[in-house]
Amino acid sequence: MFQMIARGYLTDLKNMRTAERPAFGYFWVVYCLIVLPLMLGYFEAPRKAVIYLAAAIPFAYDILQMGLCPLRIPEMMFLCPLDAPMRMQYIRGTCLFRVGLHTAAGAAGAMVTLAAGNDVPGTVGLTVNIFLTSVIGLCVQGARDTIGRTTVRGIGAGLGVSLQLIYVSAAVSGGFLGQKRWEQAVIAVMQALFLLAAGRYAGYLGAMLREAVSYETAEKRVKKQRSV
Amino acid sequence: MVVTLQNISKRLGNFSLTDISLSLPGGYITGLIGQNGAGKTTLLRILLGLYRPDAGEVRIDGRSYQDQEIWIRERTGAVLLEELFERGLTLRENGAVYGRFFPKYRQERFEDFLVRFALSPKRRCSDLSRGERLKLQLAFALSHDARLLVLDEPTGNFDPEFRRVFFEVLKEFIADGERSVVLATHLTDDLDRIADYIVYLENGTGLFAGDVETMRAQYRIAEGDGYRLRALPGESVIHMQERAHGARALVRGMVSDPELTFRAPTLEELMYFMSKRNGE
Repeated sequence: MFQMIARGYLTDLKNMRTAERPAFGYFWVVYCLIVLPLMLGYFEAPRKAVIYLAAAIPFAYDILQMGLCPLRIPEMMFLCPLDAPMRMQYIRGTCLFRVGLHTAAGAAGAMVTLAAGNDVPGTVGLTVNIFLTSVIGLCVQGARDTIGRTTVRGIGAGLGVSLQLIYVSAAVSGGFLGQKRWEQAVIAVMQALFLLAAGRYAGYLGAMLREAVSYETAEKRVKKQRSV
Repeated sequence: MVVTLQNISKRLGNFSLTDISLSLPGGYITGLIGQNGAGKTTLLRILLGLYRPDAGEVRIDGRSYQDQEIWIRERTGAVLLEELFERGLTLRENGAVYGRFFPKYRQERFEDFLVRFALSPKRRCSDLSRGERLKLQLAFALSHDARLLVLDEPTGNFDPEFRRVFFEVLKEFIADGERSVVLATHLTDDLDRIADYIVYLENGTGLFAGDVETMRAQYRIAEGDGYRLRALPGESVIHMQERAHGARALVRGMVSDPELTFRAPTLEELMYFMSKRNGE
């Protein structure tokens, strides 16, 4: 099963080249990796640039995946010799694989920031953020129900991601490198809000996975997402 | 493989498929015909276990999807209008990725079919036209030794040259007398030549299910003067069409009139007159 999931992930990466909605994902990548650091002057000193990029690259990749590789069971897999429990195992495994891989990438980036001078809370914070963003990303891809709800959830996720960007910026631009007490408080509040949002989104995951293993409901979901 | 559908009903939004029962014999090509929106695709998806019916059950060689889904899927190939394969992969890679699931899949056989269908295994799926994507699905379905082939309106997307190849392939497929094909289409010209069994759907209900010979014995086209056709027993005339010179009608049963000519209907004529029978 692990092989199947890993192959599915690689296939998704290859599919990214031909994704139907590339603009959203690529916009955020360019924004995170070029526009934002230029705006905030992160590239002025090499140490700041290393810290920023080590934090932002896993984050940008996570956003790119969220936009371009929806969590799904490929259509062909519904016609392959698998039964519903195997498909459920596949989609659950895919969730864990994606979150695990992205969190590991985030942790690796955070370790680089630590080596470059970030403090321990900042390093832990970055890792936790990548984890939470991955969870939210999974749930947004599985948006369902009515078009209105889908939109609300999409906007919610967009806000969450924007807050994360602010957080990452603060964390690597000195937020955890000796910032004032009120700044720490703001970041802590944002972190708590993000944690709540991630918990809320994760609540949808069970229903979403149940829908994903049935062709009929998965098909309805895709049609609704396309109509938004 | 013998396919049995018993009292199948399915509601999807405003459309409903109502109480469909039929038994498709093994070793034959079954044509599923009907106008757009008649329920052909829905019925095929139920047959493929993609949709769960609200009532009734599907059995393939006596097995149901609830009990033996894997057994059925190992032996079923499908060609559907939607995009089944991965856009970012080449045809060869797609075959390798999904072929692993099927115990009898052979990559060489898959690539042989691709070449026969004029598709290069090195091409990326996203570069294929709609007709080519259907050819890819067909090549894959034929490469894992399926016993039942389910095809949803592929012919409309094939060029005339490939259509000939396609029907040759279907004939080869059923040649051993054990495999079956279910082919949904609203283009009936080709079915006239190759289908052994016909299921005719209209507005979600099954109007006719039987072998082509029975259909031809049961229904005939009568041609001649309008007043002669109007003189036939009303219950035997399904629908009459007046033309500039004379008229024609689809009739049921053994009516006769020496002034009229009778012949077997084509499937297209059958569909046309059936759809008009209530003055539509």
